[in-house]
Amino acid sequence: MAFIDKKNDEFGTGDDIDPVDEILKRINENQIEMHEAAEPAAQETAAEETAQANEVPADAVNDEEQDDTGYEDEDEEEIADESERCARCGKRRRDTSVAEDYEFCAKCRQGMLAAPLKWQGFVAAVCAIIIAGAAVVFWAFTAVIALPVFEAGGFFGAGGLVAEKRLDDALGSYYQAQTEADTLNTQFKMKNLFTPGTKTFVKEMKVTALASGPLSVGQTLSTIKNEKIYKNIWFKELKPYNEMFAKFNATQAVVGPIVQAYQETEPADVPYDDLVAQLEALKTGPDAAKYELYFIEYYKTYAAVLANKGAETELMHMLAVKELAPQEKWLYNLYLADCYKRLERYDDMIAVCDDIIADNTNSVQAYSLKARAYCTKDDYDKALAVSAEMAKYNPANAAGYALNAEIYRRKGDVETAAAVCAEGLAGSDGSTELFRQQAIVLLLKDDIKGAYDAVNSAYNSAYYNQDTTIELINTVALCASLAGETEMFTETVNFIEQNGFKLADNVAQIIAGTKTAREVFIGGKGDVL
Amino acid sequence: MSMIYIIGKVLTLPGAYLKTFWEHFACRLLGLPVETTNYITYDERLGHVEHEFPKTLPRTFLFCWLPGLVNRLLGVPMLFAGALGILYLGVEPVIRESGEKTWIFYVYLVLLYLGISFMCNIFPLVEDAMLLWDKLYGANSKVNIVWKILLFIPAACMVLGSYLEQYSVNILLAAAFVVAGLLL
Repeated sequence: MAFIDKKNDEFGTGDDIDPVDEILKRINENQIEMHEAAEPAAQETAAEETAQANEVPADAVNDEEQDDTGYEDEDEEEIADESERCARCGKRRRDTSVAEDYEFCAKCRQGMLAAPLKWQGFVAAVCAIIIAGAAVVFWAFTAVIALPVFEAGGFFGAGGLVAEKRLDDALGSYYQAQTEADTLNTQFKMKNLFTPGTKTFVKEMKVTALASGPLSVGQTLSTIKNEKIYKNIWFKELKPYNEMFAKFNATQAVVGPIVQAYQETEPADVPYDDLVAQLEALKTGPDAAKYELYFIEYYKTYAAVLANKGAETELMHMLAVKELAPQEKWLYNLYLADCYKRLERYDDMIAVCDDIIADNTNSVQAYSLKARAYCTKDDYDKALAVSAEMAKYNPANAAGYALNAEIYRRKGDVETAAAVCAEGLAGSDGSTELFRQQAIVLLLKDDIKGAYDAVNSAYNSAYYNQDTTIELINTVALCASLAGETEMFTETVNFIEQNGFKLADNVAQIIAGTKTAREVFIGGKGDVL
Repeated sequence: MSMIYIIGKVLTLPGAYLKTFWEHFACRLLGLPVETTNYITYDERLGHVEHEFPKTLPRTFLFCWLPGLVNRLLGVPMLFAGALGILYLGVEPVIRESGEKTWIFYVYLVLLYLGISFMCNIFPLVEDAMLLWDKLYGANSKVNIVWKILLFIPAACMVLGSYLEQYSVNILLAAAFVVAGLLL
């Protein structure tokens, strides 16, 4: 703040600061005077520095009795014009050598030049510097957690993997953020020191709802018993998922007793029409508001499965689900694709896959279904294009290599398929499906032992990853039979039968010698089933 | 209007106090007389020291720029660390998923407040900023055109910022930043 010139009352500024215009006017006047005196700026600066060199402690200025600076004290009587007195000490004459309207005497000016910095200020400054240093450290550690969160969600919802519809990658990034926080906490041996935060958790749950469905979120939220949590500014966004999960549970609780009794019943003995009528009655019953209508419709599909009504009936019910809740794509889209596949309506299947991919470019399952549909239509170029698109959004993914190998193998290019498998196993962590594809390729190359080893790796991988499929077990049975591994063959056949299936016709025919592996695995459906 | 100014400065007292100290420090460094050394006066002087106007352009610029720069350098890491924790990650005193407590929230909170407090005190007083502007672009200015060009952006920022601080608009901007950070 500049000095207040209380003598200039005509501006009516009172005790407030001078108007800027007046200050600038005075500055300009001073400057004009200085220019007229032709005093170079360098001399002016030198004069200031000389004055600073001659400065005296501020204490001395206040101590009027001990004036040893050589400035002359003048009594009030000796200064005729009161306006000539120093505005600070009131004893000496104003130092007009500084400026014509300068308010202070030379001695006061010296004291003001040497006004000491307050020790409290130094303490505050040192504290601020220490806190700023600590802030840099906290900033760095927090950034380690925030970086994967930023990678997933971007800034203010713009950018990031979610915006690119790479939902599985985004979930991976959120998981990494939690891992980073845990690692830091372990390093500092302090539980819960660092955390990805509530906002991050909410973002992660919203992405989970898109990638895996709202019921997954509801399942996670069900562990949180405090209902007040949904008043939180971030958590309230998750309330709909919690409510949906509650409605799903309510629907399941009432539907369960209706269908449960028929789970072990022969399909022919399942009263499908009666089940559907009972489910339909729930829609208009006294507790109808507790249930989601599309969940009831979904269970009609389940009734159709129990009664073995076929893909056409299942499709009809799933389309009804879609009509009731078109936004709930997580519930019906993959099921619709499966129905279309069984009905050999490949164009419809591809359309559904496109819809899934449009929402999540990480949906490996949708790419695989789409590529296989093209393969079945003998359109291998389009299948390879789908595989390339999948690899673009899911680089170094074992499923991508498996799909690529399958397409080349079905196309008849066994050597390239074998190379892709080898590349995939070297460039990724491997997967059940990639090992299975390698086994089929080696089978086509008449390397029976190699095929059995590969399928054994697939079998072990499935055990650990819990991704056993009926295709895998049939492939294991085939390779075991051809390799003379009777014990494994028996084990797998038993497994198939225990799960209500029978050995695939293609497998049985290859074992019997009525079909060759090339006939089964090249062209057509290109698989054991 | 001065009441709004004082409220703004009181709300950001740590930054205002330190800014006064840095201004005093700059005065000593640049050889400018300082009338009072009381850093906390609840009037228009809060956050600044009463000093004599610098006579040369370099001193005027340095006086306007240096104290704010130091506050900015100290405030940025605090603001970023606090905002990253509370506004971006949404850290709370309790980890909602597990119900466990975490004290890092309070660290972030203090850093966020201090960061805002420091960043709300980075501009000179309007008089000082206008003096700098006048020395650069006033009718009697004989400053070299190169300096006029080079110093235009910082000088304009200081003039604008000083007005924002005078009417405590910077506090409103900080509040808007926090609200936007919480909601987005």
